[in-house]
Amino acid sequence: MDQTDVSQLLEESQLFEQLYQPLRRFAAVVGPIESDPDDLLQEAIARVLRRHRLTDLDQPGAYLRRTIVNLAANQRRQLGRARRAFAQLAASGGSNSDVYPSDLGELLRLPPQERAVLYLSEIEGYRYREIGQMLNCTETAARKRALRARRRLQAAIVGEVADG
Amino acid sequence: MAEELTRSLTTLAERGVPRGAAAVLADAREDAIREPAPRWVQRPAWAAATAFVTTMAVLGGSLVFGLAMRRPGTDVGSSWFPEAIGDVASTATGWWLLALAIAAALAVVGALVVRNQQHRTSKERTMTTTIERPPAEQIKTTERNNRWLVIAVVVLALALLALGAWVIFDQASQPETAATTEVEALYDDYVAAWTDSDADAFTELGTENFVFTSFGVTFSQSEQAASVAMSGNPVFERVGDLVVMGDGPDYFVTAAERITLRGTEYFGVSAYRIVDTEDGLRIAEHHWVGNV
Repeated sequence: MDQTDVSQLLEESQLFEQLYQPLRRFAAVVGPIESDPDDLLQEAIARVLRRHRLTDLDQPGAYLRRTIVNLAANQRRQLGRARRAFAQLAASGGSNSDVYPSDLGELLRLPPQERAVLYLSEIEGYRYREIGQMLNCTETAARKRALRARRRLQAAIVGEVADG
Repeated sequence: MAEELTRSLTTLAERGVPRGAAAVLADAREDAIREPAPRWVQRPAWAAATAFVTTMAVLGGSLVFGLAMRRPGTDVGSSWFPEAIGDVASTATGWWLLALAIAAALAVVGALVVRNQQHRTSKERTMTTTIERPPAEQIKTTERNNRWLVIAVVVLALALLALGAWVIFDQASQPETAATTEVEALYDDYVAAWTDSDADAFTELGTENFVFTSFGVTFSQSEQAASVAMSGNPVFERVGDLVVMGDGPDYFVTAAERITLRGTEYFGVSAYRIVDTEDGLRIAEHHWVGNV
């Protein structure tokens, strides 16, 4: 490995050090509850590294977020059955509810794309135009996802209150 | 609700125990090296079939186009083409057989490529589920075999396209007035009948109302047949190609001719009207203008 490679790897490591925390938190929100956020992030990074260097990307953070959402959606489909079983367990007050508050169950029922929009807008403070660019959708689509997600959560809360 | 949502999102974001940036990046780099991105995407068998049909349609279309520019029964071969293949390709049927052979070989090789890739993918998938990786040597051997098959597919496809392009070029380069094989054959037989002084053959090649004119004098078929029988075996030599005009059923053909009779050469031009009868092409009129 020559000096150029070493310096590129070092630069890549430094870049990832800056991106790690926000990306891990993002992966924790959009990923399935069964998967570890670091594993999801690792798989996203590996996918990118197979074709590019992180330092070659114009917006590595946005690119990785988009990859994480796509991977999370794939995993969610694969874990569909397990997810339904978990939702029933959470509703009946099973052991998992000792680790995660029951109100998270409603959030976890949302698709990864909607969770991503909520997190980026509520926690990281991005505007919908920026969120659309990150997730490769229009600003209008991003707004609609956020609205749809909030309505679902609202309906779930109202339902819980009604059940008493 | 907004406060609750924020709290839920924050809780979710902080789940799990972080491994650290360095560890995650190191593991990701190892994964990226172990499973590099595929260089080419496997294509299913239906894609190979589609390519085969498309290639045949292109070649067929070029042949139809070329044949439409010529009369039926045209020779499609060329003198510089290898003799063995030229014999096979001397008719439109021969070209079709040659094209079918290349296309069939293309389909077989293409199917082998697809099968090879499917076999490799299946092998890797099986080995992955048993937490083993296929030996690198096996993957390299499969990739090497695949590479040669892909080269064969490319070469066959190019050969097929070159065949079609050559046919188009050959047809396009033929002048519109070039004679068909039938016209050529009729002329050659007619001239041979004169040369052999064969009145019967001469009669057979003309229509019932055949006329021959020379220097303003008109002869009927029987009169000219008698003249042919006593012609003394003249030698006809065509100078240049036959020039054919008309699309049928009447064809107007001209030929520059050198006739050698008893040691004397005569030059002239013959004009023929050839008609398409139920018995085939026949000569209805022959007009000679020359110095005999």
